[in-house]
Amino acid sequence: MTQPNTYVNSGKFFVYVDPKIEDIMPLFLQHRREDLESIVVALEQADFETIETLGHGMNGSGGGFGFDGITEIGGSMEQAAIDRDVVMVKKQIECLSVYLERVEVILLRLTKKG
Amino acid sequence: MSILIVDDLPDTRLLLKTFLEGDASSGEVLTAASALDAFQYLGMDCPAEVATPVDMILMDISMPDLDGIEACRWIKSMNGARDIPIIMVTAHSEVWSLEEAFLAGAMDYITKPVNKVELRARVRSGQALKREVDRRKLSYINDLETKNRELELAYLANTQIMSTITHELNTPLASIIGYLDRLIGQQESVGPLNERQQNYAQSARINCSLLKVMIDDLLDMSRIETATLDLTPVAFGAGCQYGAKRCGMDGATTASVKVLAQTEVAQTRARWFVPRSWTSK
Repeated sequence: MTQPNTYVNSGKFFVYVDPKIEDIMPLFLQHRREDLESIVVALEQADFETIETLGHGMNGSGGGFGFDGITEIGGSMEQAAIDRDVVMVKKQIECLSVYLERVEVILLRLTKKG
Repeated sequence: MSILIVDDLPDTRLLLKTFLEGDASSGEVLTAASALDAFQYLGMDCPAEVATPVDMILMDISMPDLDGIEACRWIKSMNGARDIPIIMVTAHSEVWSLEEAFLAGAMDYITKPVNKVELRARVRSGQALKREVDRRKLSYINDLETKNRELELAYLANTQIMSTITHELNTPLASIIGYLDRLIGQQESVGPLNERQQNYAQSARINCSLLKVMIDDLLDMSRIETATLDLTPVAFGAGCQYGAKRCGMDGATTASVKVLAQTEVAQTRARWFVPRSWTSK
């Protein structure tokens, strides 16, 4: 499970992504911000099923876009929702919020030597 | 070739589509947000409609309404879709369900988050498999069509030979019957026969008649098989005398029809198709 300090106490951190997904990556991050808002609302309503679904989705998609942190947080969120652990869900919300705020994307471009 | 991505998450559909469209061997990439949408592509809800040709499916396991495993099972039960390779796309937490997915007919799986290199490699494998299956099916169909044609020609040749033989047999047989009739019925011109000669001649005449009936039946069968003889349906029951009277058959044929009615037809009414020439008698 992702520990909150991993992201909360860190500064900016960099993620290297495939240039092929340059165009769709901003949309992915936007959707994750929307997921964050949905999770906060769901937690207020004790709707753990929604939190589990959203966490599952992040777990499966984050790493594909190059955001391993989102995969990690998503997996933790999903498990916390399954366990109905309100405290852990809140901590993962904080992690995700910080992550989305501080992540810097660098596009990997292959160059030929010589 | 075309690939269909089935996943309820729009970001995942977009990611997989982006990865695959960048690979020249992928062909057209289609997406569906649910198993039911996928079924529409495959023409499973409207078989009469022209289905979009799909050569491979990437199927998410966890989806609302109908999950990927059940969708796989449905697709593998459809005649037009069962040969499409299906690769399950599964999160690490769902690996336990892979056994069920393989039993449902999936050929491979990829775990999420998806790695581009692994995805393309798995897709290429699936496409190679599909191409080989298609090639073998086409070869099998071609072989069957060739063999069917050969069988049809052989059957036609056989029928023609039968028709020729029976026709050629009829001519001398008619002549034999004619001479026997003259021998029996015109003794004032050919000379009297003693009792034994009379019996032998009549016995020969009866056997020739039986032989003629058999040859006529063979001729009718060959005409039926070559569709050169019109048939009239005639109903008759276990009491076949009605059938015999309608057909105007002679004693020998009546006997054979009677046997047929009692042993093969039994208590049910049967329709016996007879040549039109018989019903006109």
